[in-house]
Amino acid sequence: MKPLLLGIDALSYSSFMKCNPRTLLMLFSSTFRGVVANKTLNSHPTPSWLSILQMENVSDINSFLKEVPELKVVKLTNAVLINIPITNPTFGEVSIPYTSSVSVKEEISKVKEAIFNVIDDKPVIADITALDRILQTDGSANKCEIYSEIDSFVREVVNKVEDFIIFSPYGEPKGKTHEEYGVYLSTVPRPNEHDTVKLPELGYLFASLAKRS
Amino acid sequence: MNGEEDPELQKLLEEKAKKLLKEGKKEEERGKVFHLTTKDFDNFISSHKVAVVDFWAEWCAPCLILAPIIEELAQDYPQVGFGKVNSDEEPEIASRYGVMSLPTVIFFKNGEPVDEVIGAVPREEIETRIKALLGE
Repeated sequence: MKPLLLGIDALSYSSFMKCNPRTLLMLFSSTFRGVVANKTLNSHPTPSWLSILQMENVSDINSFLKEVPELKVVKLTNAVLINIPITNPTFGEVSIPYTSSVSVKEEISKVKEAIFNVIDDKPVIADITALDRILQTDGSANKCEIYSEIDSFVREVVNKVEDFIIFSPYGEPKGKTHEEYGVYLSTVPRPNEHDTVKLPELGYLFASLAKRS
Repeated sequence: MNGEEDPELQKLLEEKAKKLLKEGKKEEERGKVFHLTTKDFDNFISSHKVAVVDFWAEWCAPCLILAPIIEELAQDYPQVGFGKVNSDEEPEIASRYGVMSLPTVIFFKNGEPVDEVIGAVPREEIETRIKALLGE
């Protein structure tokens, strides 16, 4: 079994009390937890994700890529990418349009199948974009229903995968940007738990996890 | 003589404008959670009959779970002063009140600490204490 780096864009601690996602709260009290700090790259998913995948801050891009360059963390880990929002449609094994046209259920079903197909043999980097996509475009969306779908998905994933990092690169949409703080829940301890998790650090943590698996 | 040339009227208008500005500012401040530093902390807690201060830090995940509850309460209890102190940036204030774990919420009455709650607790835990301090 290989490790999983699972992004859930726009997942925010600020909704944990309101939406009460049981699995995420269980992980909150039983795994290594932290706060992803992203104060400058939170207006678009591409710079946040590229900063993770290139293992250094990428601040000069603020739109989806036309061509994907060689990605440092993939080169180091040989990881399979699934549904990564650096292109539109998303990049990797699952590729969906970055609009509200794909439901959270449909996206989760495709991503879950793709993860379970490869996780026995290869490290996986996957993302769920639905929360961010839908909250950005549909003001009437029921946030806690989306949380509930995501929570059930997380339960299935953590029941199968041994080593994981579940995170969000930023919090909920806030005007044209996002909340500056994201979620970090993992089986990997961090060198300094009294510090925020930086985006490139996620790439390094995953690479070290892949190396030891 | 028109109103613009009447110095007495001019003075009255200026005073009225100042009053409106002050009231507007007060209205703007209603329901806000103020980021407090050593510069304004003492003045803040002494200028509110009841004040609630949330001690937090960026790396503290439970603090981020609690934050929206404090913001909600600030909206619902405009007669109470709500503030937050970043314990990493303002260690002096945190140590003055013996804050050892985060989040810690301290309740002040007439500038004196009278109660505290530690951890990401449900809204009711904090609201009950606010109501008691307000005598509701």
